[in-house]
Amino acid sequence: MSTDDYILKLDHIEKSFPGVKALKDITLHVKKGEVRGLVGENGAGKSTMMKVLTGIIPMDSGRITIDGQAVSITSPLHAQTLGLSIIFQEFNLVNSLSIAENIYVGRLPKKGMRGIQWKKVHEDAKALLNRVGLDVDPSARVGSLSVAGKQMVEIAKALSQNSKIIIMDEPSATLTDKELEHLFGIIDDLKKQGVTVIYISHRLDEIFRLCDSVTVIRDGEVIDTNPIESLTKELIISKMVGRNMDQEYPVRAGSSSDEVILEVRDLCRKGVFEHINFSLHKGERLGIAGLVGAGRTEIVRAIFGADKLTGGEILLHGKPVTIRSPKEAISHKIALVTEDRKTQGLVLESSISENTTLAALKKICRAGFVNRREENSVAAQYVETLKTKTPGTKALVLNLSGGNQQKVVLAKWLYTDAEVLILDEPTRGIDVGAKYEIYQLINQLADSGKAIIIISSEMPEVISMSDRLLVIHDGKCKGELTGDQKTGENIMKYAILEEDA
Amino acid sequence: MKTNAKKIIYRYSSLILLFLFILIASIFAENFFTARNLTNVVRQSCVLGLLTVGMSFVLICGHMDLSIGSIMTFTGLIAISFGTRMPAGAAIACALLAGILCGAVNGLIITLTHANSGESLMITFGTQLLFSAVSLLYTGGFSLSGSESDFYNALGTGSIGKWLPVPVLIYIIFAVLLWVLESKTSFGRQMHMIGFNPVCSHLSGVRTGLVKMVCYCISGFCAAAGAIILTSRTLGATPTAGVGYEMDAIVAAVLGGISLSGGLGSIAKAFVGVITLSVLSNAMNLFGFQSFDQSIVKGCVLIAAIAFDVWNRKQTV
Repeated sequence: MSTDDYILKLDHIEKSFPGVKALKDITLHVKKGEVRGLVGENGAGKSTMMKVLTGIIPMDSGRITIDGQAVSITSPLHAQTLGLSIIFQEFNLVNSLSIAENIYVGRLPKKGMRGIQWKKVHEDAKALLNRVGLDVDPSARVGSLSVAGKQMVEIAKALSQNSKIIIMDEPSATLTDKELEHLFGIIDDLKKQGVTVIYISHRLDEIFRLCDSVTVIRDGEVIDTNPIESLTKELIISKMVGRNMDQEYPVRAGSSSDEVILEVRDLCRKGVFEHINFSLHKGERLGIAGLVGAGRTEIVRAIFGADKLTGGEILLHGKPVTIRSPKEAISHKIALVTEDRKTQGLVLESSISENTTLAALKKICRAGFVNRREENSVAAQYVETLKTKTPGTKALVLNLSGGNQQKVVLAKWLYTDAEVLILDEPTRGIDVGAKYEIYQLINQLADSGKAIIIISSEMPEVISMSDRLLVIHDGKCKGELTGDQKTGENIMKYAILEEDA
Repeated sequence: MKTNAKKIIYRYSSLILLFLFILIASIFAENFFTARNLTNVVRQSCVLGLLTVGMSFVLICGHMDLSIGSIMTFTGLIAISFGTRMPAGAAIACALLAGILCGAVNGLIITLTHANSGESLMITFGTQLLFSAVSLLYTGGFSLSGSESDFYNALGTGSIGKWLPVPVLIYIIFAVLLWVLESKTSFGRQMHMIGFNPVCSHLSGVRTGLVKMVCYCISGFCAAAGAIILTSRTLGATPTAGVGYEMDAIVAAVLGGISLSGGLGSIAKAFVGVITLSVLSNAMNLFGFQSFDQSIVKGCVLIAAIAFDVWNRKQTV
C-alpha cells in the first residue's frame, strides 16, 4: 500500500505528565475519506491525543505526518492551516457575532482600504451552510441557533479552512435524536467529498452507524484498530476495559451487615438525575460507577445537602430526614469527601490541625474558645494512624503531596464520627503507594461498621473496592451489580449502551 | 540562610515599615518625638482604629465594607440628636444598635445574593450611598451641634490621670476584646477559614452566611463606636463627617498586613497598621503637606502595600 493512501499518520507518539505516562507509543494511521471511530474509557488518553494533535500540548517524541508530509504542529491555528480541524464538546463560537463572522473570524477577507468584503463573506458563508445543510441567514447571530445549529456552524468553519481532516469530540453528547440523524447525514456527505473524519464517542450505536473502522485506546495505548465489520459491541467493550486486576487492591476481611443505615427513595433533581433508589447497609461499601457527567457526583451532593433535591426521600435508620445543608448532613453523621480536593476538600493555606477539626470544631471548643493544644493532639493522632507524611501538624496543607492531602481530608471527616462516608473519586491524582493505604483504610472503616459509598471513574477500583455496585447513566440508575456480575463489561454495558441493553 | 532572612522580612514587614516611618519622622520633623505630639498621634488614631478593627473582620472573611464611613456619619447623627431627648447612655446605645443594624443590612444582602468579594465591594458602595442619603435627609443637610452631656463629651476629650485619654482606653478595650474574638474563638477560626476557602468551609458544615453577617454587624458596630468618639471630640455631627474614613481604614488594614483576598490577617496586625498610618499622617502634617499631597502619598502607599501583599502570596503559594 503506498503511503499516499494515508492522510494522517501518527507514529510512536509519547507524552508524559509528572508522574503519569499519558500516551505510550501511539501509532495511528487514517486513510483519506475514512470515518474512524475512536473509543476508550474516561482517562484512556483520547483527549490528550487530540490535544497533541492540535498543538495545544507538545508531545515528548514521535512523528505526525499529514498527507505524506512530516509536520510539527505548534497551535490549533497552525493545525488548521495544515488542514486539520477539531470540534470540541465546548464550542469555540462567539454568540453575539453573526454566523458568517464566526466562520471567518480572524480572517475576514479585506480588499485594500475599502475594508471587509461583506458581500463575499455572506455569499461564501451561505454556500458553506448549504453544504452542511443548515438553512439559515448567515447574518443571523450564532446565539440564536440551537446546539445542533452551532455544531453545523463549527463544521462549516472547519470546511471553510479546507480541512482535510475533521476531528469531532463527543459531538452527540448534547444533540437530540433528530439532530443526530442530521449530523450523520453531514458526515456521510463529508466522506463522499473526500474529507476524513475522526469520531470520538462513548456511544457505540453511533460508532456502528457511522464508522468504517474503530481504534480502541486504553491506558494511553492503542489496543488495536479493526474494520467495523469484524467487531461487535461486546467485543469493543472488552477491548476497552480488558486489563488485569491483580495486587492493586487489598481484600477486605469482614462483610456488610443486614442493618440498613441510609435509604434513598425516588430521589430527583430536575434536569440532573431522577428516580434514584438505593439502600446502604452498615459495614457496606457501595460503589457507584458510570461515565463522567452521568450524574454520580450530583446525586451524592444532593444527599449531603450541598444541592437542592426536587423530589424524593432520604431515610436514616428507617426514619425520614430532611437535609438542607452540609451542616445538617454532618449532624446526621454523613460525610462527603468531594472529588475536587484542592478547591472543595481543603483550606490549602491553613494548617493540618485547622483542617482536621474544621467539620467538628465544637469538639475542641470550650465555651466558644478553641483549645489549640487539644486540637494539635487530635491532628497528631490522625497523622499517626493515617501515616500522613508531614513535618508536623502545624504545616500548611498546601505543602503536602496529593496522597497526604487526601489523608487530611479523610481525617477531617473521621473526626466528625460520621456513620455514612461518601467518597467521590477518593484516589484521583494520588500515587500508587498512598492509594493502597487509602484502600486499606476504606476496608478497615467498613469492617468497623461505617457505611461507605465510593464513586470512581477507574473501573478496576470501583469493582474491587465495592461490595455492591450501582451503574448510573444519564442521571438514572441503570443497574445494580453484585458479586461476579461486577465486571467491566457489565458496567460498560449499562453505562454506555442505550435502552436496548 | 537567605530564604530564612526573606521569611523574617515578610513576617515582620509591617513592623519594619512602622519603624521606618517613625525613624524618618523623628529625623526630619523636630517636634515629632515629643510626648505631646505622640499622645496626639495616639489620640487621633482612635477613631480610625475602631473603624479598622471592625473592617478587619469583614476583610478576613474575604469581603469588603465601603459603607463604614457613611454608617459612621449616620450613627453620629443619631447619637447627637437622640442625646437631646434622652440620657447620653441611652443615645449611645441607640447609635450602637443603629450601627449593628446597618451592618446587618450589608450582611443580609451579601448573604442572600451569595456575593463574592468584588460584588460585596459594589454592594457596600451602594449601601454607602444609601446611608449617606438617609443622613442628609435626616438633618436636611445641616450640621448638629454637640452634646450637652459632660459624660458624652468626656468620651472623646477626657483623660484618666494625665496620660491616658478616654478614647484611647475605649479603643484598647475594643481592640483587645475583638482580638480575643478573632484569634481565640471558634467564630474567629471559622471566619478565617471562610476567607481562605468559602466553598470548603460551607461543605464542612460552617454556616458561612451567618459568620459573614456577624462580621458585617461587628464592622457596623465599630463604625458607630468610632462615630460616638468623633462627635464627642469635634463637639458636633455633620452629615459628611465620615467621608473617606472607609478608605483610610482599608489603607491601615493593608499596611498592617491584612490580605485583601481574605483569610490572612489579625486584629493585632490591624492595630499595627493603624499606628503606621497615623504616624504617616502626623509626619505629613508636621512637614506641612497639604491635604491633596497627603492623598497622593496615601494612594501610593496603598498601592505599594497591595502590590507587596500580592507578590508575597505568590512567593508562598
